Amino acid sequence: MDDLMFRRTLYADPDCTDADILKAAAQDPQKQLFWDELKRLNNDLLGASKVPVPDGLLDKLMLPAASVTSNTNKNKALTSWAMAASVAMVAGFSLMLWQQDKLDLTAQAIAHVHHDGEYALGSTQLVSLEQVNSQLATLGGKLLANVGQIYFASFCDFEEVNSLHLVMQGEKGRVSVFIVPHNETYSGQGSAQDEIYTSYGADFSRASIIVVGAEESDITKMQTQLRQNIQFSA
Amino acid sequence: MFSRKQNTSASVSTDITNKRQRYETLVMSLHTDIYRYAYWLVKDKAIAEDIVQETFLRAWKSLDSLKDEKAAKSWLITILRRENARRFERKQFNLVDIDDVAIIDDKLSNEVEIEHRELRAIMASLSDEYREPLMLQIVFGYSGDEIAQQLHLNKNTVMTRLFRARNQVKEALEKSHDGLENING
Repeated sequence: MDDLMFRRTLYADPDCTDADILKAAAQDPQKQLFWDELKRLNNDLLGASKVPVPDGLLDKLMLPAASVTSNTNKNKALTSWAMAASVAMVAGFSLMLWQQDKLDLTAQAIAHVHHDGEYALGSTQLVSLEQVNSQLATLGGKLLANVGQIYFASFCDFEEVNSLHLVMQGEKGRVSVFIVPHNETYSGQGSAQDEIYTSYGADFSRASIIVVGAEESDITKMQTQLRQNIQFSA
Repeated sequence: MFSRKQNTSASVSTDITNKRQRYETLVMSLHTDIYRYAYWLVKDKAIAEDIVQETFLRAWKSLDSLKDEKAAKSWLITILRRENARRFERKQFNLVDIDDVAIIDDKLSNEVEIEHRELRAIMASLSDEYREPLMLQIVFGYSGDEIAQQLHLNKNTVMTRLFRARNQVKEALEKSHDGLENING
């Protein structure tokens, strides 16, 4: 393969898996070097493309659904609106200084779940709401109602931030929940995925909550339930 | 009759719950990427946020037309691009200056961020026809075929544009680094 063709193909797709390209790179160290440099550039482009998502956007997007669902119960709709609005406002104010380019914790959460393995996910402890709340209190949070059986609750070092790691029962399987206090260098908002797990993170007033699980429906349900049942003191 | 009516209303409410669940899953899993894509489409935080809100509102209203969740990403991108085009029909906005784009990084704390700032300015300076396929590839991990389908272009055109986009990024980086060396030297 000539050099021009090689460069042209990789410039168009640095993650190309074409057999001819792989072979050409393996045979010529110069070509391999060019490719490595290009992959680095692409990685930088990926990093630079991740502009911070505005605080409160998630709440704004959730609103239309809340209003339509409760058309049989106007009070409930009003409460939802009011709650969502106040959450958005509190989040907006308290996160104003906390929005720059930060590391994404959702991928870290998946790695953490893999790392802990069965130790956490396979735990057979039955943790009570009171026990969790006594731990959550140190992060300024409170769980208002049980949102599923809790099998594991422990503080862990999450990227050097002391965080609460819970394992809870979803409808289809267990989910891991990380409550990570806000920190200047990290963002808990977003999503990540690998072959086994998906994780979604959302920012609350004092902490980010990241839910990791194998079943997407379990994760979103848990996020919604936590959103409705967890309270952080101002 | 009474009980039948009750059943109907119960099933309607289940439908709405299901619809809401579907919608929330979409929002949670895709709002970050959709926002970022919107940002790179319009290069303005506030306008991007508006378009994303309009996109999801429209998505909620026509959620029943989305038959396969796997197509959700491309469906949302299509809505978003349409919303963006609509914006031009309504009013011709002033184009954003590259200097304004750099405002997004007002808290520079390390080398990586300085590098990102530079890259963002370069990415923003690419013409739309190059930037859009590049961002589909970078933000959504789309293949050449998928980009071609999304943008209604043929694949060769897409590959050429991707090639030119990266080529321009690289040239711009080299130029700015040469400039720095000259200043230092």
